[in-house]
Amino acid sequence: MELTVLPRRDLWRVLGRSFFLPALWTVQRGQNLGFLFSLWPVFRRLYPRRDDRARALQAHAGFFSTHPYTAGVLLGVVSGLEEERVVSALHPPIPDQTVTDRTSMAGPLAALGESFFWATCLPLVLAFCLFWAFLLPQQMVWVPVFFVLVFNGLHVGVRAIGLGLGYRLKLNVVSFLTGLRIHRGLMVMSVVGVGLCLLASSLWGWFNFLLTLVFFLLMRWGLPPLVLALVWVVTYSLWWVIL
Amino acid sequence: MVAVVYAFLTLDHFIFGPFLLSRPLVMGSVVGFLCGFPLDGVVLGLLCECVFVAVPPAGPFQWDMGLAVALAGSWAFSPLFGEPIPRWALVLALLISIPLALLARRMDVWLRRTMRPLAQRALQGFEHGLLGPFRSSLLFSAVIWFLKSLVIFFAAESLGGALFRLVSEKYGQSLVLEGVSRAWVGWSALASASVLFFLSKRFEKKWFSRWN
Repeated sequence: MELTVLPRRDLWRVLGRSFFLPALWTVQRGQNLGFLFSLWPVFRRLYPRRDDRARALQAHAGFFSTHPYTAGVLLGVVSGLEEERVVSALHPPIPDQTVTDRTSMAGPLAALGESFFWATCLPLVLAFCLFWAFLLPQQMVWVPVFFVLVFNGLHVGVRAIGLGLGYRLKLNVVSFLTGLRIHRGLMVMSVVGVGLCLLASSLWGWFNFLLTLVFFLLMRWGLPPLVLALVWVVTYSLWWVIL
Repeated sequence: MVAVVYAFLTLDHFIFGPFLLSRPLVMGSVVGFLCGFPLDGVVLGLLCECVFVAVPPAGPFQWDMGLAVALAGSWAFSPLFGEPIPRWALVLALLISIPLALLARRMDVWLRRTMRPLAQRALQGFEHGLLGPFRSSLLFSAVIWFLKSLVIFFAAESLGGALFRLVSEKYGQSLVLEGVSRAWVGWSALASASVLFFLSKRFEKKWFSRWN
């Protein structure tokens, strides 16, 4: 049986504190203060003496930057590695390797978070919102509630599961995440999102559907959405005035 | 009231989260609800959220789209216009508020640089094994961000609001603005097309990799 020092409630505390990751962000050190604050319950448990704790915290005080939603994995990995080090009697701590592991994982996890949350989940949830808004225009006031609940439910879930996985699997979490084939899931989610957008636009009639396709083609052609909106407003209002 | 709610919701971006509470969809809905036009608020928020879907919600140097929507809502959702809100008022308000929100980003960048001593103090606390300096710095920075958002909102609201009132009083009955109201018919297509375009980028990468 694996010997553990950290009670489960400490990991819950880490999860709760991880929401402060963007606090006191600086160009020089990124999210390092939020990271240290998140790990405080772990360090406090593993290093009851202030000197030891200070030494361990100093080692982690360098630059740190990752996606806030996938940071849970890293927090779990660092908690697990620090615990392992203390349990296997390598005390006083020499956390250099942990810091190297942390730094090498931060970049790929940030890329994963960008791709998963910003480039797929957010537009997919928005596509659902559009579908709802166009299908039931009178119930539109619930759309923002749906948006906040669904997206945040997803992100808090990923944070919590990531923390648990990182803590249990430690560095093996990399091979675990690779084995998940997340990019395939992202592709499926994107297809669903595209379908929902097309379906939503068709709900308001063929003119709306055609206009969506024209706008889409113009965006593909290189017009940014905001510029396109301006062009549309100017063209349509002038056309209306002339007629 | 709108300013206080806006300032409170922006803490989500700077201090705690991000839970996307300062995004246009939430901000527009909250402002619409506060001003008594909940459906219009959701429409405004949803449109801006879709058009700006490519701007990531987290990151230290993002411009504040929530400010643009909050300002636009506070100008357009006025009882002076009556129900329903003329659509040109929404378009005009957005046209004025977006450049102001882009300008406000400079203030965010400046404030982040200025608050470096707070971060330094918190770091020194950690290096001595103490949590107290971080907590006090966090609280102080939250207050500063809150006040910054209030000041920015009031400044932009007065400046842009004067321009908005000037234009709406002078040209409110003009034919061009009537045409702008008619152009609002394309909002749903624009929102759908923006999300569609953003999602389709993934396939583009896949297709290109196959061709190469």
